[in-house]
Amino acid sequence: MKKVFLAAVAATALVSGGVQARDFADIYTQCGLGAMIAPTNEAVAAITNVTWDLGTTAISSNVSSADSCKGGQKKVASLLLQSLPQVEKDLAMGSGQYAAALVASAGCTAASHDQVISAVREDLADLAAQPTYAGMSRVEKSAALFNVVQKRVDTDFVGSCSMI
Amino acid sequence: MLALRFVTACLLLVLLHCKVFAQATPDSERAIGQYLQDAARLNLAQDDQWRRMLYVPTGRNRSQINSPEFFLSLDRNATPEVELEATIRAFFGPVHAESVDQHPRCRFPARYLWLGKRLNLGAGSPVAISCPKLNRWARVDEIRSVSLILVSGYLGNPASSFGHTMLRLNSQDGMAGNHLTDTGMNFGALIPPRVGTIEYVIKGVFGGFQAGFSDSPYYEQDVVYARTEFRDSWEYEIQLDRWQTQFLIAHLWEVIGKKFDYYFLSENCAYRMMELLEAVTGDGLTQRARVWFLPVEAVYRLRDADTKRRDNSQPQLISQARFVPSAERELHTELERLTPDQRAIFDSLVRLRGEALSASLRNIRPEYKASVLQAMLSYFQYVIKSQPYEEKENTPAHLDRDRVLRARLGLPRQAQVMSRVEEVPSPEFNARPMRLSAGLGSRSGAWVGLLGWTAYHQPLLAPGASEPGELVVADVAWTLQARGNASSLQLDHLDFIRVAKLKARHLGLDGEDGGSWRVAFGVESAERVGSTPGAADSAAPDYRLRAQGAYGFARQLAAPNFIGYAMVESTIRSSSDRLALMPQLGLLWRSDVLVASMDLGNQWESRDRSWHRKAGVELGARLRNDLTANVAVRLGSPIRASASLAAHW
Repeated sequence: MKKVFLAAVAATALVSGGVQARDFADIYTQCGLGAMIAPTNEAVAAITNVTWDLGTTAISSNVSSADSCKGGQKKVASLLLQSLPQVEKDLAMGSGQYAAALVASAGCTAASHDQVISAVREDLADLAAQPTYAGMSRVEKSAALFNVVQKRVDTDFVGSCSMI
Repeated sequence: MLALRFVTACLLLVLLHCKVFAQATPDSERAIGQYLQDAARLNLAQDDQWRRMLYVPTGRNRSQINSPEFFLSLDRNATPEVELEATIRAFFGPVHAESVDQHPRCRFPARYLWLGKRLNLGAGSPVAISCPKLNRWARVDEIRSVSLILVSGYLGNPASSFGHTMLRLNSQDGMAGNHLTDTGMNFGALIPPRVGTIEYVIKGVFGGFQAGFSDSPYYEQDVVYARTEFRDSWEYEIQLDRWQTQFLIAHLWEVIGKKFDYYFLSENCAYRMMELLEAVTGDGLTQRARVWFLPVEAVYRLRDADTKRRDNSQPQLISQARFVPSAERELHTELERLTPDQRAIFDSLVRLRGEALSASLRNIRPEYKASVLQAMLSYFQYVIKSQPYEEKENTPAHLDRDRVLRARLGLPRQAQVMSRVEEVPSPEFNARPMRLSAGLGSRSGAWVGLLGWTAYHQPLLAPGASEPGELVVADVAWTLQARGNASSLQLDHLDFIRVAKLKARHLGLDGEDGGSWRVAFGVESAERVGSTPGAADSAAPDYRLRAQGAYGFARQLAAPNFIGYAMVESTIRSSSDRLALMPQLGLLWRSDVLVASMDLGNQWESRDRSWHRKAGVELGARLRNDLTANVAVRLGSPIRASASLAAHW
């Protein structure tokens, strides 16, 4: 499963510019992000669409997560995996709370938010224009968008953002 | 040379021991002894705040926390006295630079803060230490307030029917109104994999699951509650002073990940959130906790505390409240905002699929395009989230949504036009859910007394419901009638559960699930049905089980609080007059203090294979949150007219 996943992420990296595709896969596996997008209990899933008010899954916590899973990369990856449609919509419009949350998670200064959103939006437009984008899974799309954010942070917004 | 090696070895040993400094020196032993004496003199072990920090309930001497690592005495059955002594001693324990995060002062910062305040603890401590992991997580300087979030009930999931509560730590970094990356605190049960539905329900209600606090970015809750389950929420900002805020954050650090027993009705999310705040503020927010502690009870307790504070000229706990609409409510508002032309374009586009949609998207009038595409993105989000769980990736709706996304990305950026969503009053403005009523009714020309008790009552059109619905649990009614020289108290009915959902707002689009429904299950007397003529004189009432279900549709008429419905109701009874079928029309209207309903039906009954007209008009008034009045007139029912008063708590 992991080999297939990494291959898919690598393919999206080619689409997105090939920058640090491996980082998303590592974060996904090392920081347990996969558990966030599917409950493990079928009876629970049968009762409710996604969640259950007896509680909220295992006690996942930033308190107990490894130090390597606390930085901006994990924040961006987690935000994308869990709220990709909201982020996509806000980026498509060019504004919104989820777009703002994305750039905040990437450690961008308030003054740079607008420019970062514009830049990432431009890259998302290129991604979405690819024929392969529509058939990608949520994880693959998240990886692709993660990569474009990382690339922008590492190149155009070095002084304004930090995903470390 | 040998001497040089010996001296070097001794120096190394000294240096190594220097890393483990602050061993219990004679000075620190004296300090510990003095602190223990002071603690005993002040009876700190029995201080309410100390007991609350340890989750030791009133009247008991043992913590409700099951995790051994929560106890510095290493005994989960430790008394508050034993744990207090262990804590003071542990704070003077050795500090190892490579594992400072494991030092008790870093693991239990709230205890340290509290003892520091009560005993001036820091004065006797040999070294000050910094806790890197705690500091990174806590971000104390960034937190400006705490909010209690009350999420509305959700009839689509039995476990969510009563709603949910959680806390959010609001940061200074959050932009105006944007708290998505703030920390949300939840309390919930840990459900092991492969637990069956029946076990899930039994253990959830009667115990058997462990539970605990967890922290996560608030967007995780927003995605689930507002954008997947389409539930409204209300945020109550709690005003704490600087010390209280630090103390709350430190205490959260202490309890995250620790295990509690879980009880869905009593020791649940709402109860534990109030326990947290109670430990911080000292207000009695969980005192006199009843058989159950429902999410809305948390707000009642805060309001009650504020009433007492006001009387004592103390600052209020709740500084402001804010309504946060669900994504479904936002979609309705967004569609209402479209002009008729834009709405016509939207309606025609959402009926298209695949390439036909792509082609049409290119031809939208430019001046309409951004607004229409924004509404379409919101619509497809709603449709996708409404799909069954199994179908979550690359469905036709996903693909069509991506087409709309591409089209919108091809347009310039534009600030999203967010129309103001009409506010829905919080559930706290409903009458309190438990009810005891008394009144008079007219039956067969004679007056009867009416008594009723309801464990949980959320009426149709109650404030705080994401959509009109009724939820009633354990509704019992008795009649008291004079018979000759005696009076007779008889059970009229016991409804174990009554649930109704009226989907009154519709998107007006093909394929939309617009059904409304109603179910009820309980016991009723034959008299109530009128199936045994003369039963009023009968000494032995006849009871039967009853199951009812109704399905139909509802519509908002002219105003959000004015609803019409049409349903077909079927009834099955455990008696010879077993079946009944009734088409029914009804109207419902509600203002802030009044609620009115009217229904008209024609019921076919198997007992005599004939139709019986049924009709009713009912008017209720909320005199206060704890007092309501009700008058009703019914045709086709043994009790033709009634008037009653109900106390709520």
